[in-house]
Amino acid sequence: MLLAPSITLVVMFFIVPFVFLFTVSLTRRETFFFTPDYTFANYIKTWDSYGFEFQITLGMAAAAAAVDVVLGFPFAYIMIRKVRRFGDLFRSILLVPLFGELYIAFGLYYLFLPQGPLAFVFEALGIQVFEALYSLPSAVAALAIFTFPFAVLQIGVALNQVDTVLEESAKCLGASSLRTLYKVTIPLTSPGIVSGWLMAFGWNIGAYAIPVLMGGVAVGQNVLSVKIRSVALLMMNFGLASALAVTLVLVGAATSYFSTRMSRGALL
Amino acid sequence: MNYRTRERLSSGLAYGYVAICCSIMLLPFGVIFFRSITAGRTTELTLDNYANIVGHFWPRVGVSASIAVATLIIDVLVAIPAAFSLTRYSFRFRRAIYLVLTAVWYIPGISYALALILSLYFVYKPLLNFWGFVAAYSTGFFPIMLLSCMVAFRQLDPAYEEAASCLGAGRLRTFGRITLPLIGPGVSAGVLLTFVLSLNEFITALLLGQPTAILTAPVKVFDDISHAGMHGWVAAEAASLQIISFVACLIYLRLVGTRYLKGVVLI
Repeated sequence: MLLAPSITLVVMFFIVPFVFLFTVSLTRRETFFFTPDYTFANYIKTWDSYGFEFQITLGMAAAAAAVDVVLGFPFAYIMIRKVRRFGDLFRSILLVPLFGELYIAFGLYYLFLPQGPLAFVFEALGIQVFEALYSLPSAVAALAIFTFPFAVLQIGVALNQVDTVLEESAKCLGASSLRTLYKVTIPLTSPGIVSGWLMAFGWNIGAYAIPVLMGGVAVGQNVLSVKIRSVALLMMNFGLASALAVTLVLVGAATSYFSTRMSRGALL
Repeated sequence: MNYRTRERLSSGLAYGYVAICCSIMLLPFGVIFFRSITAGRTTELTLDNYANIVGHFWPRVGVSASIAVATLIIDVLVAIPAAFSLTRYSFRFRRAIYLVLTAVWYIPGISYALALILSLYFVYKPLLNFWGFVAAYSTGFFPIMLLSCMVAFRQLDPAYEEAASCLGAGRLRTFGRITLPLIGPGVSAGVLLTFVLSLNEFITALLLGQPTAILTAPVKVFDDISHAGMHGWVAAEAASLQIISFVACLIYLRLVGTRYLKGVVLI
């Protein structure tokens, strides 16, 4: 009874749209508005000619999520075990990237422009500014800033559940701090690390403004979010766009499934 | 090196690391803000950029803010009963229902936006306006509201409710007089996050903007970046949106603190 409104909301605006998306993805462009005839052509086309787009999108998202986890683990560890003063200040700063990827993209885009505030640094170092700006690594860095809080959150939750007694006993038994970290803390937090990576990955594959502004032409025009929008709204080929979108969701779901299996179900 | 120096050194390093991470996260905003208060190539400080956007940008902020407010009202009304039953009762398929309700949080934004826009075109035609945005946002941000409410209910000791019903209060009365006032601060975490996220939501608004001809503030910022470039007034637009979000967060943190945000978006 109490769940009825929420289930209605989710069914109406989440389940129905996705069923619809899947149906549309099976239609042919020419017959879409009349009597749809159903075909797998869109998926075949997705498989044949969008391999590069998938590669670049998923590779970028995975790399940025990996950066998040590698930098986020020490951050979460320090925040939970060490930081006492200014703890709330640092925590509140984690809210800032959540305001949106748009501002991160905008800020970094301006930072690296020829007339931007960092121009004199690049000049001094002799770096061509446009090379620094329009490239895959800068898109990865921007995405890593965007999803950093998600990775930190998941790792932090897992770290909070680790009993510090286990770490102390490892130390009492003669393990060094580093050994304790590798043999006790990291294995115990691995579900959190996996889910942190996953959540960052999931948000990264949907990003739009960062690849467009930071990735340059090569990345910006070939990322799936940009492709899906242009195929749907500019070329009006809803079938193909839906097939791309469904495939993207399936890739995300498959990643979650395998990571859940790998972390032995501890994820949920 | 004696024990104390080592201890000091390691805590100094730890604080240094955290501070560097935090400054990198603040960097984009700092850059935008800096650009918005300087004029052209000089570093002279000015507020002209903010004065220039009053006429054409604030109406967009008004649209975004009213969508955000409508979204959070719907989400609060829908999420509180759902969170209550998910935390207080155990029933069949509880975990499955929870997964379905929060699944949208893990779906790539572009796929959700496309699915929604297709269904608005062909199924929910009457919603192809302001309410389409509200429907999209309130479904998309429902998980975070639900999660905040569940955290609030979990932190609330059921003993208060039991005491109230022992003293003769009915279920409805207990809920209205005891439970609601006590979970208020926790729900406010969800309200804050939903407001900030819907105010700044970009990709759904970008796709929905085309058929509905409604231009929200973040989409306007993106259009101006891609068409006009890095002018001071574009930076002022982006900075104003961020300042609104900042102020909302600051007010919230002053009043409530980080307690109810932990486990939802913060560690």
